Amino acid sequence: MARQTVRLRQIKSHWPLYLLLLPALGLIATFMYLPAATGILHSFYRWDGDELATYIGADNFTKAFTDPTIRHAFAVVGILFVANLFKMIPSIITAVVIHRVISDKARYVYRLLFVVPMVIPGMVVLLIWKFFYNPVVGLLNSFLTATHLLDLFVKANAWLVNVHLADKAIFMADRSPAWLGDSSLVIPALIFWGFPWIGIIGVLIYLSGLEKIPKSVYECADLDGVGWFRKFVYIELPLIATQVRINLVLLIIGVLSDYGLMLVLLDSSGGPGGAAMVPGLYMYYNAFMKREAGYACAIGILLFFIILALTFINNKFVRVEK
Amino acid sequence: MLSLWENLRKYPALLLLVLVFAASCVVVAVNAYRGAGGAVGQERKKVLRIAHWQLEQGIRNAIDQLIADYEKLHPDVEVRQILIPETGYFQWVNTQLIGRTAPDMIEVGSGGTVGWALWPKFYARYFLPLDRYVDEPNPYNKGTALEKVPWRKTYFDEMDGGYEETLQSYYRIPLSAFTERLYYNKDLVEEVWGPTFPTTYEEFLEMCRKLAEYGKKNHRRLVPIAGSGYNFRQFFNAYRTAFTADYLDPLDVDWNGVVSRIESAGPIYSGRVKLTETPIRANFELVRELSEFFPQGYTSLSRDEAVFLFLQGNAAMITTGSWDYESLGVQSEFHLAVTEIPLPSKSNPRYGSYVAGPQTEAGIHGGFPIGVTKMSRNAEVALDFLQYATSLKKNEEVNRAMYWLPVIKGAEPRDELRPFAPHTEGYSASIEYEGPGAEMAYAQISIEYLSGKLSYEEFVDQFMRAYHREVPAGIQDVLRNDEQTLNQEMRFAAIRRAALTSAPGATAVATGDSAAQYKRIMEAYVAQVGVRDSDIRDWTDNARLAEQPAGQSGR
Repeated sequence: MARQTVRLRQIKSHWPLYLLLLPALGLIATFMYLPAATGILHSFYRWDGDELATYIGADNFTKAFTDPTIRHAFAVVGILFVANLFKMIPSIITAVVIHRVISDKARYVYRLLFVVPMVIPGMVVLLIWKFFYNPVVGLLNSFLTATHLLDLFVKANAWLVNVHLADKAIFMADRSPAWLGDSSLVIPALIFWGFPWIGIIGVLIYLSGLEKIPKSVYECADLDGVGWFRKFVYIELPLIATQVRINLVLLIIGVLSDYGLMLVLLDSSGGPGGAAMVPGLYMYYNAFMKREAGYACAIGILLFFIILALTFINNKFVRVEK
Repeated sequence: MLSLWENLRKYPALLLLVLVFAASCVVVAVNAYRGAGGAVGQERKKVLRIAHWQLEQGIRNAIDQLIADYEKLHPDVEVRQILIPETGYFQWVNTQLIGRTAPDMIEVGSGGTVGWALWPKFYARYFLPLDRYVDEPNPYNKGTALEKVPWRKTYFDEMDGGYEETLQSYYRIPLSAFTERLYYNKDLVEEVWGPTFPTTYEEFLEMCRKLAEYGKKNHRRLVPIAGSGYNFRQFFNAYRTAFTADYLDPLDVDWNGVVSRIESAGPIYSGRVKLTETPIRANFELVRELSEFFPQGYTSLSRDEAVFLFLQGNAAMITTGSWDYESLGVQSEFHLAVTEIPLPSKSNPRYGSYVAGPQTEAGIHGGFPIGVTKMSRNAEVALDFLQYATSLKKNEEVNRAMYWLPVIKGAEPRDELRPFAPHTEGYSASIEYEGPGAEMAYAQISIEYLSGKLSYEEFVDQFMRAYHREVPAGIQDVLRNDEQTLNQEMRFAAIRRAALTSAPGATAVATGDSAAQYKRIMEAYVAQVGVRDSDIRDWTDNARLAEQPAGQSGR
């Protein structure tokens, strides 16, 4: 009881601060929680996104569980998630390398160089990559042809077909691979997307963690004759585990809910054979193309619970050493 | 005052928040005021907004000129263009309509294979039916031969492009007409093939081979045809019509001369029409054969990328509509020529026996269709603007400026557009492969076949599995839409069937006043199809009650 009195008094004495929070809370409630709540409600309706809504119980969820496209979409997003786990490594390495630059000036310049590309609009980056994959005039095919790597791919592919490790030839002589137009190549192309996979935000987050490591720790390690690799494994990596965990949460949310890239690159059908259909894109397709907003809400709710479960697992099992 | 300032200074964040909020309110209020035509010098102006996806500079300028002329005539009106890219246009319109923030006039009909089922629903709920206007003369035709002609009769197609069959009403005002052709780089084709463009598919294929060889020999990244997910459909449709014309008779059950997706779906679903039948197979196989001369993975390329390939000289040909004539002409650094898509000759051992003939364009409708939304505050003015745009003089002017074909009788197109004049002889499309609900599966799996990933048997097997899985629900959706929009076309068809088969409702001829006619139509429909909808049941019950003498009502 006494504790409550103190809290009330605190509120009274700091009311302007709480008042300042109200607009933000109101906006968050209006634009984040209210749509989510109506999404949950509408997932139990056959709803066209407007006024027509018929209560159908859990039919949307039953349909989602038996929908083969949803199963395929979650399998695709699973592959992308695992690939993205590996794609975190270059960012960590880059952050450590920048952190270890001895000259403060040089370190500052490197950090600045990483921040500058952030001003390039995402759409420009996307179009550059799309051009990179263009089957006729794209840089990737030009590079593979000029270096004769494409011939190597053709031979390797033919060998795989011969030994029955592959069904069909993906790479053929005199034919430029269609990285975004061949169902066998779409997922590898999406995984390769963004090479060398140095996420600017990720690097900055890791750097913030690395800079908190006291110099004395490095000095002790030097006195003990610890090499560069062991410093990384036993000092830096454990001490940036908090940052790794944050990035992992962002990664889970980002990979599972993202679909903008696939929509712009491959249209709402998920590309050839629906190879790049992800749950978010299928949700979008149902909401805005088929106007089955109720079903789209049900897919969104499923996605929400999966992200929640993965985030929970991450927070539970990725240990942070203080 | 000073003490208030001293107090406020203690809370800089709150002060900043209040200031930003106040500034935002002012900006919103000014924009709303200007949106309502209240800007300085524009007080009490009626503001019309027209949204479309024709972003090319020439088109925008032509519409701007049309708007300027109209505003000169009507100083109290301001018309604004809202330009939305074609990618995402359907989604934009969808959300604007749901949010009741849609502009006064909207270019309608986008959305690809899925949108086709939704537009009737949109028209019924969000757009103004225009029946009572289209039978009146267009006032802007005064002094011309069309002065006393009803507005719809001034159109080359009698405004068929504005008529929504499922709702039996006019909802669209078309501004232009379009046909599709094969464009080619004349300089390149003449260099590689010769001055005469191939007239048969066999010659065309040979020319494509020569172009591919020429590219290799000269180390050029040259593809014969700039295909893309958008720019291969013209080939597909031309060959589909040529190869499957014989399906018209068995599939066109409502005898309107066109086989709809619904009419195709039943026979394909039940197996009465099989995708393994030789004409259908030939249709797919020919397009696959031809796609060897498209860029690899062309289905993942966008329309813009295909145009880019063509304009850069990296592709010798491209199929697209007359809508691209001006922009291709302006941007190309070579001589541009336009021709027909060549069909296989009758002597072709593989395809010849299936070829009926070319696709007819006799039934083309007016395009660039504009609908007026119910939420428009100035719907009458919007209609006046559209009447102005479709008057004989202005329709000719604006279409000449856009390099498009006009839609009004007597309006002259540019001479350069002669190759796009519609062909009145030929065949119409006679089968739709995408079933309702299976559009996405078709898009995904047909691409796999056309790119060589699947054999024809694998394609048919996978697609038919998806077809059987998706189409029943798709049909249910269509039926639900029909019920929601009171699909009158089916009811009229019921009367036609009843008249021919002497079934109940056969007497529902068009006599008596409109209410009596409508009652008979409904009765005929119910007798033919059964009561599917409580609205229909209520309507017929009410109609029956209305006919009974007073005092006999049992309700």
